[in-house]
Amino acid sequence: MANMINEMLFNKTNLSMLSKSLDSAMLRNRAIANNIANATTPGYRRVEVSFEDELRGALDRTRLKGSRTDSRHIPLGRLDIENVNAKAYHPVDPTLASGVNNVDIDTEMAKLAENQIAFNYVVKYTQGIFKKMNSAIQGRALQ
Amino acid sequence: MPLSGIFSGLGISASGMRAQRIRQNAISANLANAETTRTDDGGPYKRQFVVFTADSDRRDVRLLNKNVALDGTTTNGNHLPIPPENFPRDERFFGSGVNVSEIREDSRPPRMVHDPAHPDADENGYVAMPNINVIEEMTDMIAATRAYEANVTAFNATKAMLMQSLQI
Repeated sequence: MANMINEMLFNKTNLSMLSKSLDSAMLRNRAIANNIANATTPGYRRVEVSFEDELRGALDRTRLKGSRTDSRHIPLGRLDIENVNAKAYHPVDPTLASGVNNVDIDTEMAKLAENQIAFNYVVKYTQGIFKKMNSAIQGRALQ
Repeated sequence: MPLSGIFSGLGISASGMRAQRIRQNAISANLANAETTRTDDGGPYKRQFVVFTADSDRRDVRLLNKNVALDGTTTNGNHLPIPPENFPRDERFFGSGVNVSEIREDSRPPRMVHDPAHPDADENGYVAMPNINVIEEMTDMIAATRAYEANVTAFNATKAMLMQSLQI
């Protein structure tokens, strides 16, 4: 019974995806804060976080995916959605001379605002899911 | 200072604010001493400036390198990618803010001003004034203020996100 409830309430919803999305927004916020803090540091290279592209890759059904019947198998091709995680990296900028800081403060501020809105959206969406669950449990219409 | 956990974003912005404040202090000292000809070391005051270094967070690397999963590189479009299995959230490239590594004295020569009446004038009537350009200090001050404000904005954004996450 408990298993069934778990399955229905949590596994059949995309709560795990939402929490990953929140995690990635938090990580991206950290990356942007770090870029802003180092805006005047000579030689600093900016950090970016990719998550949406990884997720898109995992959702692309046209990509090959190896099925695994043993835990020792090497995962091949497309990632499982559960295994999609945010990834921090240094973007490659071939026009940049070595030893020069590549942080553009305006871009970072814009990204900061954008990321904050994305985070708020996911929070609101998650709140909505819990609200719906609650109303279904209590048998009352949504207010 | 190694930083991790949910409050690390605040710490990063705080380190940026601290660094810009130290820079601002150095600029204030330069402006206050723009005409100082006598110091403890002898000679005129020398311009001071701060040197920033990115603070790398080594602890995160060790935390994350614990479970290294196999990761295949594709060098050809026909290669099958072997993604790392459930790779950890990659914080390898992450620093934890900015550090003031040193406050250095400017090695530029002093400004020679002709003022024979000055008690520190040499036999030709020239006084060695500090190597400070007030205009340069003023522009530097504006840059420091703006950088500080940018860090405050980032701090507030992180704070707002943390408060939002309590609403779930």
